[in-house]
Amino acid sequence: MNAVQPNQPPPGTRPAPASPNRTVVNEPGTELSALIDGELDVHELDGWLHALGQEETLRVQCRDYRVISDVLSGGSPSLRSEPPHAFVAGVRARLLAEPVLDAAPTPVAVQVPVRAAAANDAVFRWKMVAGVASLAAVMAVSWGVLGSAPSSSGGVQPGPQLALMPSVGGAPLAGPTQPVDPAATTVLVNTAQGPVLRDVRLEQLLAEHRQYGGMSALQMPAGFLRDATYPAEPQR
Amino acid sequence: MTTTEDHLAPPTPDSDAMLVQRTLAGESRAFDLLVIRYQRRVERLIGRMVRDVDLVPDIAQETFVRAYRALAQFRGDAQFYTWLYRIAVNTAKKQLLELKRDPLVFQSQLQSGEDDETSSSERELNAQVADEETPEAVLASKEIAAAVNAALEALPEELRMAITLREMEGMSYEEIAQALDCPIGTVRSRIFRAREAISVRIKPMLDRQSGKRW
Repeated sequence: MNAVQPNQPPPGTRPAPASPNRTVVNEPGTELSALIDGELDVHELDGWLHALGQEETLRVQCRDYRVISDVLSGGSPSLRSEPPHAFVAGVRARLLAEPVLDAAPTPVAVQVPVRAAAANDAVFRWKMVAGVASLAAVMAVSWGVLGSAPSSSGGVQPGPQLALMPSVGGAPLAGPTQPVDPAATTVLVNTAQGPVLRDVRLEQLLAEHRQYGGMSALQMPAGFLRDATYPAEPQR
Repeated sequence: MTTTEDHLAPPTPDSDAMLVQRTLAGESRAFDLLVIRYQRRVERLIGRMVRDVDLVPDIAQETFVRAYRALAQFRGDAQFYTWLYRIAVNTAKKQLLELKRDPLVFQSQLQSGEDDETSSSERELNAQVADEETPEAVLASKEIAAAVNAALEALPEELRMAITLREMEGMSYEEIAQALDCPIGTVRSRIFRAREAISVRIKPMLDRQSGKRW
């Protein structure tokens, strides 16, 4: 058996001229032919690349095959192509010089945009003015918030409430904390439309605030609002 | 010698996609096989773009280095050579730009980097390149090409078919085996014997040209 062992090609073995009718595989030299086509098995590769580096006859054979390939593929023949072992060695050397594949991605430092220093950064009075303005703004807001907040006792501030409370003869009526008997302030009045229950306090309130209801700002005022601005004298 | 296809039949060559996967898995030999498989095609492509033939191996190697770095980005949507072709073109263009910045390089050494595989045929471009070779080199090239074609015509049908499908159609051994309905080992053997038969015819001419620049 003259078969070529993988990884150990017979150096200098040049096969006999082709016999067209044979279909024998693993003839000596078929591996080299398969090698230049890149159709060799990976496990056979090292042995043949090594053999190419050692044997001039194999390199010549490889050159001949490549010239044939160049011509048949439509190109002009070139004798200057590097043999496979030299070319692969060159690629390997470059890859060893710059190993990148399978390397963990290098964390990229995130550049946070930093605002450039202001032109008046060195002038202290600008900072002082800005600080005073900020303090004034905070105080103004605080004043407004504290002024409208409920008192610590939980009661209602008297100022706003006084305007809303009805008064008789300039004196405020009883506050909301004083219970008022509804029956004591209501009067049953017989009118042409029938008996009407009128509230004395409501009558007084309307008498004091009748200027607000003289004319509605609305285009079509509601009926009950117009009724509430009638003269204070009870309709009899 | 006996016909021992059962025991000594070569293993089915890996496809490009499988070699890529094996490379990504850490098997560097798989990438070496890809390099060998496409070395000449890449060199021929670059040779059409860069007239200085001394630059071709360097750019071709750089192409494979770039391909190796970017191999994880190859998703297999396109054929590997299509992907590699684009890297080779970009690498050659970059090299051309660097050469243009180099005042020591003559403009005549540069060729348009805009050549595309689809825009002009390889024969036309090679003819352009051949125009700049010496007359002796052109004559030798034509003689060798004629001898190769004559030897091809003289081959038996099965050998001629196998080598034609391989070299002219660019088919892999597996594809040829399917097309010819025969084992891969037979394809491998036929291609080898076809090359040997042609090599016998052109070897004297090649040996005369050894050492010459062409």
